[in-house]
Amino acid sequence: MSIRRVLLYISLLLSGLTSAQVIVTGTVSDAASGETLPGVQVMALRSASGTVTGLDGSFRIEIKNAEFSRDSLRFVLTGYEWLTLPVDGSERVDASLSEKVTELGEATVTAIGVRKEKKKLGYSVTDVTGEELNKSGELSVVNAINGKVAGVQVTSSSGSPGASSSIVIRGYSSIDGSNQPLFVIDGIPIDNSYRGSNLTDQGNRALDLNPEDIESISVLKGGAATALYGYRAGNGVVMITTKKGSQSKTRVSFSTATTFDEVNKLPGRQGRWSQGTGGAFAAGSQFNWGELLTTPSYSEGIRDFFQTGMTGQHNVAVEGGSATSSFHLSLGHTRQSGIIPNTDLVRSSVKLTAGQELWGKLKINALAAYTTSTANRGQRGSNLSGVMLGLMRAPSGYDLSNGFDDAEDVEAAYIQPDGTQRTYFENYDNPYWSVNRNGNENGVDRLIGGLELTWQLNEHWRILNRTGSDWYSDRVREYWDKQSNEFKDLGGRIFIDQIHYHSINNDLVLAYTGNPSSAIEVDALAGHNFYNTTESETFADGVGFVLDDFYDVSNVSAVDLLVDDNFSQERTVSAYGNLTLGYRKWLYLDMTARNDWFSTLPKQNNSVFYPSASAAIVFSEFLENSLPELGFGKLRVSYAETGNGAPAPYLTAAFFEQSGQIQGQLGYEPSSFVFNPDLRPERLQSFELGADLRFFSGRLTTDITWYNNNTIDQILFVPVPASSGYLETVFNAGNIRNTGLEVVLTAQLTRESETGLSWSSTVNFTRNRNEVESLAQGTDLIALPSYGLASTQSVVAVGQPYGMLYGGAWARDAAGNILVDELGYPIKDAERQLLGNPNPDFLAGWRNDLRWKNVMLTMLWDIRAGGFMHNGTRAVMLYHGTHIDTENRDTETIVWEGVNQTTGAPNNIPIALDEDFYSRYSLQYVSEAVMEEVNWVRLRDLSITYNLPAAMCKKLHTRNLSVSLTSRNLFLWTTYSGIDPETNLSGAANSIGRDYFNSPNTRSYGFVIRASF
Amino acid sequence: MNKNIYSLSLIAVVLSLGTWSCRLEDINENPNVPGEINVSLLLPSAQRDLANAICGRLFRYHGIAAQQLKGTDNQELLMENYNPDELFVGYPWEDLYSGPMINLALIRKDSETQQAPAYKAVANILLALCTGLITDTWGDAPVSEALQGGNQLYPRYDTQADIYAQLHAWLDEAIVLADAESPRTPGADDLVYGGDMEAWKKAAWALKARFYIHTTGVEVQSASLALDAVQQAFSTAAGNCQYPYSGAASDSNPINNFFAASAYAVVDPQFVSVMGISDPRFSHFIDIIPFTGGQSKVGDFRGLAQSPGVFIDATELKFIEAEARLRLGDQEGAEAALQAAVSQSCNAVESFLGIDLPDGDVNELVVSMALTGNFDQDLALVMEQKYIALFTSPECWTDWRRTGYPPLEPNENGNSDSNPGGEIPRRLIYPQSERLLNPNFPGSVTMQNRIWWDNN
Repeated sequence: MSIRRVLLYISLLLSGLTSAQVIVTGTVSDAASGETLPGVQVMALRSASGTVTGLDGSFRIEIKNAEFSRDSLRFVLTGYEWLTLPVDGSERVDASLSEKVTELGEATVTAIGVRKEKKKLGYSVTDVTGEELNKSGELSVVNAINGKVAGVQVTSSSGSPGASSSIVIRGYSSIDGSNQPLFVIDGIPIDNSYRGSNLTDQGNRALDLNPEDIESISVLKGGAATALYGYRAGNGVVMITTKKGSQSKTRVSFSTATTFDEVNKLPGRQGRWSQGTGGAFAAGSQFNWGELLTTPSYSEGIRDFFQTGMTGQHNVAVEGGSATSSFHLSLGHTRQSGIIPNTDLVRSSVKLTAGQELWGKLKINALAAYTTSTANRGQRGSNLSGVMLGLMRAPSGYDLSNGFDDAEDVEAAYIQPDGTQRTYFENYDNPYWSVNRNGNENGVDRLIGGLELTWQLNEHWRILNRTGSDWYSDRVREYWDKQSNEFKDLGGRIFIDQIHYHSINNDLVLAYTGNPSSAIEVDALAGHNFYNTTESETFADGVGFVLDDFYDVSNVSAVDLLVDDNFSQERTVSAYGNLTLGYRKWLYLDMTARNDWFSTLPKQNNSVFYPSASAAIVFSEFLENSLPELGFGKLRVSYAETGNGAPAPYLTAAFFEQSGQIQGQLGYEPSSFVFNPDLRPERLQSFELGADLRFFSGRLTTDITWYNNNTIDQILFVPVPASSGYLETVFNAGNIRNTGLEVVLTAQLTRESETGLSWSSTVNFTRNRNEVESLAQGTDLIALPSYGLASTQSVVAVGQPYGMLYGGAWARDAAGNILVDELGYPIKDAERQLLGNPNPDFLAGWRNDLRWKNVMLTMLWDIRAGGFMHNGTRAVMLYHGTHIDTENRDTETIVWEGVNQTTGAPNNIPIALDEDFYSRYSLQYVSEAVMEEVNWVRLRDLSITYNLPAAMCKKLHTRNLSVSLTSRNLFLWTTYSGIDPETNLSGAANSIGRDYFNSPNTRSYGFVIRASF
Repeated sequence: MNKNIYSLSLIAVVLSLGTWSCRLEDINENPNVPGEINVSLLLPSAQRDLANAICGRLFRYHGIAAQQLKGTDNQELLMENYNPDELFVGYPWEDLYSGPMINLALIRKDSETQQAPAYKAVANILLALCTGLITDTWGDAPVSEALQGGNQLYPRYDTQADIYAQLHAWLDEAIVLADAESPRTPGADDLVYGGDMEAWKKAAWALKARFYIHTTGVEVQSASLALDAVQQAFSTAAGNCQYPYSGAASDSNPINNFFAASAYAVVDPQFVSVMGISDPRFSHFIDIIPFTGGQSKVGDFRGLAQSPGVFIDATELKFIEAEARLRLGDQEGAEAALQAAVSQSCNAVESFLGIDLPDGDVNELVVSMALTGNFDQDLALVMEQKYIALFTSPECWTDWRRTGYPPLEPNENGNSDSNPGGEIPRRLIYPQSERLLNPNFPGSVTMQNRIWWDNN
């Protein structure tokens, strides 16, 4: 109790002895339960008198006669909202207090699965509940987080079933390492690998989680939050807590969701001009610079190629338990057909969590989650058999479907009577051919298991051992028919890739909790971690199919089959500790330390130490009287050093690679990689400042975080001049700085108790700036692996943001004017240039939850401002003459803004925007010409839920029954001219901001029925 | 007491877990690939990669520059407009340096410890061939410090004159080593000559002849040295130095693959008219694609899956002889060599395809190869016939730059930042990777900056 408050009481007592008094009585009760509350401080603000409620919640207070009509009473109890009621001349004043909905009592899951009170944290953690997550029926956990957490950017590769999605927390920080966070499910780290190539997308493995099994997700963003994970923490951690059984009677819940998907945005196509060149029709031409069409135009008919996708998700869960045990069993089944014919995803999952207490001291929790899924994802845009490529380049006058309604099911649509492919240009696939004669199939079986033993030694000490195992097999089969263009030169191709992944993670933790004195709380733990992953892969690559339409490795000649296997293993052993000290409920200090020992590094530098410290100062404890509007206020400050992934195995010694059988001779080549015996892991130094503020009894809450992260000692896969004989080496160098601001503002606009309508509105705002401060010595620019499209690269360059786009540009004079030649055409620069920053200026989400009686409405708006995208699709469509912008080629001219290359005089020569112009440079190689800024406003989620009234539920013998109408991407406004810019050619890889015939995104509608018994 | 037992047992468990970490570095031994290798396993890849490099992207850049090909899309269209992209220009450079050249450099190095001078001789010869292609395409290039991996990631550039001296030094060493006692010798792993060291020696002389004839403009002795080298080289098609593609899907000539798939180039109508439809070899050199208004691709002589990847052949040697004799004033000898060259070229078509060209037409063609005594006219004839006979060879662009024959007209859209003035390119621009990554990069050039031997 503060001195100030003691003085206040003394003065109240003194004043009570000296004036004429009125006695006011009343009872204080809990607003929710109605139970009376003892120990509530009651103060008369004007009379300056005070008392405390008795065991029955009643009080008796004296009020000065003079103040009787205008005094007010303030009721204060720890854990409850303050309440001030006017006396108003009444001798009886009853009060009901509401429990504080501040963080005070809330707990969240922090690193190593430790639950901590949010109040005590010196760093920012954002929670997403399972309910919020499942509002719009996303199949992928990663997509379901999109727009809901400040500081998090989610990018999906397309709207196709099982497409990969990238999630990046607080900006890109690692050049060659992964930028994806660690996924942890019930304390067990799990794999979220992305295995895509430039030809196909294979999804990322977080897809194996059924979002319906999730109780909540905590997103640990900064270094201090994740420091206990050491080298695995640099990109943040997504902590997933699955649903657990309640220790009460058995309940059954059921949900079924049906969703319909359609294409949300496609580029425009011209419908006036025929196939051909030079203004003349030519069948079989790649170009569309022919004559005016005399036949019907199919330019918009390509929309019919896309079908309505449909998703069915069905889940049943049973939970229950006794005083000492609990279980939760769920079954899920999902079936999705994509908007592209013959693409689909089927996923079935079973999850069991069970807990048992033995002898009052030992708790056992077990988890088993099994998922089996199959998918057919289709081709990536950048390959010559890609669906969008064949579709967008198709001539307006050419009917891809050959007049058939369900052309994907009719061979005559895409096969000529002589058995050859029916297509408009011999080097591109008819999309109907592509979806029937090329495949990208995979099947995954995955079992995640966990066993956690907690032994409560006594009141203060406990020992916990948690063992987790993540095992999966992924069987990939990709093939291209011998007539499909991607591998026509090789007579078709087939890849078989069988991957077996297994990781074992064990944490042994000794923990202490106690209060050595009344002022000090101590939480401490010491732990040991063992982590071992193995991955074995068997791979077959065959070319030259013998039989038609039969896609099996047995169908290629033995000399054209390359078979290989690979085994890799990594192990890390770690020790860590954490000490949290609390002082008088207002100051919390948190310190962690971790040391990792790696198998992937040479012995002399395989040990790395990671410290962190954070502080939380609950300053509102001092302001209760001077600033009563502030219910809770906390400042946070932290510094941490974490890591960013161990290097891959086997990078420290040179090796040779087999190059297959060469005319009966086994051939070998040195790896194109120069080994490095001195590698160290990357390090991330992060500093974070933040504040949690709650005003007006929780009506307005805000959470502000500013951070500055430096990733140093980056493990750089640096390309080297080929003249060294090699293409790449790896070493530690470079520094990337990420600085950002995250703001979350939540307002309870009206409450149900006041108006009958409950409306809460949350805005989250994310702004991240990154800059590459240095790279390897002598290197100013490094290209990131830029799958699929070489004309525009993603690079890191000193002094620039991460992932700058780099490619062909217009030549300029010293003053920056574009150089124009004698004919009026701009000139392309011989050297590639930096073209644009693909990172957004800011991201914002605006969420509204409204409830009126039994109806709930949720609306999530999503805003992105700034950042560039290379519209490679548009470049090629312009070059081919299929883009809408070439529709008026016969009339449109332009005077290029620039100067004459020899005279320097401003250019004034008009040129026609016609075939001559667009084919002059192969426009796709002047990437600058198609850089577009990406801004959008989208209605990401909109859903309406009706809960049946309790009486009706009773009649139906259910506990709850609700029906929801849901939608996703119902509305999209964007400055980008191509498809929905929320897609990326490279999927979950590090290269961002490139669109090259990416598969389009979707808009969805659906309904969900949930019931529990 | 209880507490102590707990603590002790905990410490015991932690210690036992800790012992796992002792084996950490053993785990990082790569079980998938060998760390050391016999030189005989590096040779087959080197030979095929070299053929793939020559018949792949290098052929397209050279072919377009020499107007044997006309680029119609993608990288080939950029080159057609003399406006190549610096990233793509790096591909043929990488195809050579980090393909066959590093293999050959490792063979040279390991042959010392593996007692295999014969392998070193083969590696020297093929490395000279590769390095010659590099310098004839880009001029100055890293050679003396190249191909050293981690020991020199950023090699310095050598001048082309020094590079040419190195080429001859390598070949001279090879000629000596081919006769040396060699405990290990190539056999079936040598897909070019099956381990015949005598044949390799002749191939070394053949390459010396090629490199001497390149430098006639800058070194006075070159023509006689070339003639001398030709006489010690192989003289019939049986001695051709070439990679024999089997034609299997995974072992087929990239020229075939290029035209089988998305061919972004066709045979240049300029070449079609230079050769002339009456040439008996015409239909085997050029394959007119139906329904395209006369567009054509490389014919079955050089364009089949099993067409060999030619390193240097007897036809080229005859033309070198003809040119050398002409330059040395031996008109009669030059004419005989020219006729032998054209006849050899026709024979090569017949023997590869197993057909007979009409004898009359061949004879008529051969006897029409008559020299006049006017040096320029005679050189024009020799070079024009070489340009035809060596269709798809990188020598064609090199010869045009050296001699100006056959006369070619530049693409009228060829004025670009990389090719100011728009004349026919005289070299390629350097790759992006060298500009960005090599601190010893000497600086950008345009395609009009001439290389050392190009003083025509």
